[in-house]
Amino acid sequence: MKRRVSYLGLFLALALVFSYIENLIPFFFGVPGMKLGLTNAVILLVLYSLGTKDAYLVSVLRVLLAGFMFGNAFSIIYSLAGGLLSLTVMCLLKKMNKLHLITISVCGGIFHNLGQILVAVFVVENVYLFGYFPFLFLGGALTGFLIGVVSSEILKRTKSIFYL
Amino acid sequence: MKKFGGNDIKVLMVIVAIGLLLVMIYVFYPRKAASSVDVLVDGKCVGTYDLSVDAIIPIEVNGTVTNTLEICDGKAFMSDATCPDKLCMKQGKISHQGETIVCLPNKIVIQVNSDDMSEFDSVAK
Repeated sequence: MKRRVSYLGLFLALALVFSYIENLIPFFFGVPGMKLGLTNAVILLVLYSLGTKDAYLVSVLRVLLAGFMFGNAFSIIYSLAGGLLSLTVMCLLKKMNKLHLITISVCGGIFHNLGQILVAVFVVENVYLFGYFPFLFLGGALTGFLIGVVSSEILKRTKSIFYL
Repeated sequence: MKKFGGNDIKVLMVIVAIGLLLVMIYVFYPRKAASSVDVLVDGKCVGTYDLSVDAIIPIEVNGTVTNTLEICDGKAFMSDATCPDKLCMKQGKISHQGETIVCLPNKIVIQVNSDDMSEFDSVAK
């Protein structure tokens, strides 16, 4: 229990640092608003080492804290929609136990962008926003793949530490 | 943890195929020549401007000017914005039907119109 709490704190701090880094250095992929999604690596680590419930906890707290520190009310809604949809999809895929972390991360990246564009369509009440979706789809898949590779390498090397 | 296997390759191939299909649809989607742009604030149209006339249009939200739309050579683009990230300015110039510039913080959408909007659009709206 004590170890779990300290790990959660550690992961949350790490996720916040990554949020901050992404705010400082926008990794620009040619599509407005596109991000690398470094924090997703942390969420994946929590999901695979601690479990589903803790992944949701870290994800929601990360969005709220980062939103209050670097963003605004709107960015919280967008991040929450994207983060929760992508985490839900990743949890379901992980439960199926048929796919590797990298593939799951790719799906997570895509659904993260889908969640954000859905909220954007509701906020500005304009369906034409879906015109951006092809780029967000590919961008989400690409960043999801990169993050997936990084996370699976980290997990491979830290397995013995994280399994409680 | 699962090994990277056949299932993953299948799923990734399907994802890449869908992605390429979406981009193809985007690239080859027939676009009619456009004649005007609508300025929407909070989902409501506050003005329609002719694309053939060069203009500088300040956009007001709740009484204060937040963004500036510029029309030049038949193309519309956001030339100024008060929001910190300025994403609407990075979205470039628009001139084809259905293209949009979106400023999420100020809830502004610039949308290109043509004289005859297709049936699908009016239904989907």
